[in-house]
Amino acid sequence: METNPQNKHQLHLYGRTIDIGPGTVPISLGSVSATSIQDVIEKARELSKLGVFDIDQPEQNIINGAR
Amino acid sequence: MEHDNSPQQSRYPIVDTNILIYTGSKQEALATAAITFLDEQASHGYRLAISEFTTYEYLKRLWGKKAEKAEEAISTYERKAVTREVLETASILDGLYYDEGLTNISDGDKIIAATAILEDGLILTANHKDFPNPFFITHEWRVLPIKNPRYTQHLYLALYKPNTQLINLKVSDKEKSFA
Repeated sequence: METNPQNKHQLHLYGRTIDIGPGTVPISLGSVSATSIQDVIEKARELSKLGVFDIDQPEQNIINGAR
Repeated sequence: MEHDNSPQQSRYPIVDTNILIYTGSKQEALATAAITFLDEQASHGYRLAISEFTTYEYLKRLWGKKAEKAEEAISTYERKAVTREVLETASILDGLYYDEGLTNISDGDKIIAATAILEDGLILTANHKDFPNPFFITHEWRVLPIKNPRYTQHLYLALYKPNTQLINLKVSDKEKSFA
């Protein structure tokens, strides 16, 4: 198959070319079919209150810290 | 803020594990900043998803009630499978990174990046060095304040777009050189 390296909707993988785009990667078994942002926020708030991720703010991700 | 005017409907931002952790952070200001950014992306019409590899990074070393709640939280996301094509793409990225001297990027980040490449999607992250230029280009970025009682810091979040044309060109060059 003749391939064009400039085509951004295809990817060259080990001697073959595949089309890429939304849906190329299947969802996992048991996954919801679409993310609900309301559910994400609700569950994140629960985790926050429970203190599940008691992390320090990674300095490399924080800029312009003004103390 | 930067925009490239690409169509946004149906495009998947793959949410990096660090963003999920920030949204559930004990530090309310940090959690609020991360949630605000996710909410904005959803309101722009993006379909948020995660790589199934994030399940490992997110749940590891959690036990009991905390693990149960974290599992409930991660289950609210559409989860993209780690397929053979994802792993092949990740291995190609590893080779291209190696040629550029980029040897400190984890396999998990390559799997997340590969998922975004195959989806022609985006990566939403706060760990910018894990998705290096020129393989990934800034699509949009935000600086969000994290207000604490005594001071304000800022969290830099970005959406990165895979530079698929460049990746293809580099792969083509490599294949020619080893033909």
